[in-house]
Amino acid sequence: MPKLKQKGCWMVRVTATTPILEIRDLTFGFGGNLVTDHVSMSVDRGEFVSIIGPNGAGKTTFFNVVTGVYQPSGGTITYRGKDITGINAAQRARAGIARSFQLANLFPTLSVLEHARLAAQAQGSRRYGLLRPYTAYRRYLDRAQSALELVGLGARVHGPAGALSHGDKRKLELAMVIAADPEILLLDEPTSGVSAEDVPAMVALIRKIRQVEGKTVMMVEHKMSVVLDLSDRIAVLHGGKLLAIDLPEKIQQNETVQAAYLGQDSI
Amino acid sequence: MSIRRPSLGVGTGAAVLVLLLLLPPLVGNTQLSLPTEIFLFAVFALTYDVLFGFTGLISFGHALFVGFGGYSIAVAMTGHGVAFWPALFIVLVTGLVVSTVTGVVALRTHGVYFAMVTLAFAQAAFTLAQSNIGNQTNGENGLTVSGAPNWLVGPTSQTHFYYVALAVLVCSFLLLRVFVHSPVGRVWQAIRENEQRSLMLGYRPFVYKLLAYVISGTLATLVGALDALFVGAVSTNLFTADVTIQLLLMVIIGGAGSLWGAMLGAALVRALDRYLNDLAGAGWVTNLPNWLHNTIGQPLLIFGVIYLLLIYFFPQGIAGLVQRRFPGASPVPQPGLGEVEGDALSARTEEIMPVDASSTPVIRS
Repeated sequence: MPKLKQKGCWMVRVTATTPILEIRDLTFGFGGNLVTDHVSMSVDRGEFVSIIGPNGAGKTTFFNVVTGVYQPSGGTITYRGKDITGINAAQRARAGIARSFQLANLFPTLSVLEHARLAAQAQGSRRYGLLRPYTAYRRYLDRAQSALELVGLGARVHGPAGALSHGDKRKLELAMVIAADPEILLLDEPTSGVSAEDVPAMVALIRKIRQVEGKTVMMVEHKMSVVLDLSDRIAVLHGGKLLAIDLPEKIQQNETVQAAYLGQDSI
Repeated sequence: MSIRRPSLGVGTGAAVLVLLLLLPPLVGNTQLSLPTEIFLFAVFALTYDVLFGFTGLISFGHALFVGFGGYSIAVAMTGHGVAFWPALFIVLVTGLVVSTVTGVVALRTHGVYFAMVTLAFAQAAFTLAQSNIGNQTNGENGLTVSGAPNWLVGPTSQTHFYYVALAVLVCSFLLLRVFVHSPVGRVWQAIRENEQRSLMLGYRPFVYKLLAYVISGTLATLVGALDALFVGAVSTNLFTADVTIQLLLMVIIGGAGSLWGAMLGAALVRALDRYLNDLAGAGWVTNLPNWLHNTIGQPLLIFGVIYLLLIYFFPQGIAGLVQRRFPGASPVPQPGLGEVEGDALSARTEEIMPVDASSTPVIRS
């Protein structure tokens, strides 16, 4: 893959670019079980890192700790050179870390458009506006509309989100992340539940977000074809520990990884 | 983006307003107490709807504000001889302070705990008023409210009070309508639907909920003072959960999350209350055989049956019914009745997120 060679991570490290996200010894647990066990990784600006691992490996929990849903019991998260370990989830979202959810996590009776509009509005300075109607802020509406058109929901923006099919809810999750216009996108299984014929379009869209808009992406995904297609590097979690993080071809050859994960089901 | 309000709704509203403006000369002064009472309760219901219908907060202690407004103006005017307008200003300030302080505490909790904490605040106020703290509240006997300007109280002023209450209702409605359609109002609705997700989008739910609580509480306190002037007296009953439950009923019957629904609910509940009480005392009812008299003569029993029927046939209230008949009208959300996400139920342990991140067990290594 020439694209990878060009953006090979060792190149970036040699030129001493500060990573956009630097995670050190991140640790979190539920009542005695470490679900995130001293995980360290650093992600460069514009990089695409996929996180794979068997069910229960702690992938979503890792996202939850990075986005501030859970407060880690140890370790630090440094984002654009600043320690963000102590700030809350809302502040992290506004700083440019947006995530999508693996399970539809929506506002069931609010319209599809309103979901993306709320995502855009949260980033704006007028999120505490009380005296003017929300429709007075066209930029949020416009950004929401174009994000929905990007994911292919442009024609059904007015219905309630609760009435969408499972696959369309997944697209809406992605549209909300796009509307927030973040620096880093954390996508939690973006293609799960999406019908097979829609997956290539989703993959193309994620690639576009990353290449055209230069976003950094971290993605949890089970479909290995999607992971290999998109990733610069792949991180493998197992039992809360980071087994390896490396170029896709190296990960495929890694024996520890094969034993822990890839050996279980064919790719 | 079709955000235009239906002209049908605006037209109906304007027609009702004109009718209400023409009502006093048509029916005469003696018939104005019920509509005036309805206007005041409609504002209480509006403030409750902001919390319950729009933000999804179930408060059992909204009576705190109703009572506090009444007692503030009674203590200020009767007890300390403060003039009307300064007294109203005192009410505004106490309303702001009380709602902010109780809100900051109560909003640390969620769901049923929030309901319990708000109830506790109202009960505490009830006890304080009952125990005549600082010799200000006159204990169980309550206080009369005197010193209001003549144009507002007194035997010839029913018409004036009617128009004042109507004006307060219209202003409250318009103000709250601006709020619920603002960026903040939209976040209130997002919090009602899914608080955790609104946090993950970058909103701080606590700040938004506090805004809703303070706006709602302060307005209710002001109107509580107006209600005390209208009745001419305050008693500790104002702090009881009965008051809050009545507001909850009004909002549910009218349609939670709809401002005009809340007003309609208030009208229906107050009018029913009045007419069923009149019915219970009517001569022909008292002369009925015992078993009939004991059923028709029980206003709460009849109200209960009507309430059950309304909830059974119109679970989304009157506003929901209108929405179904005229789909162009503004949509009525259904707090708490939203579709249960099928896939949310199959969440794996790994993905379950606590309602409150601070409640998560964290291991210190």
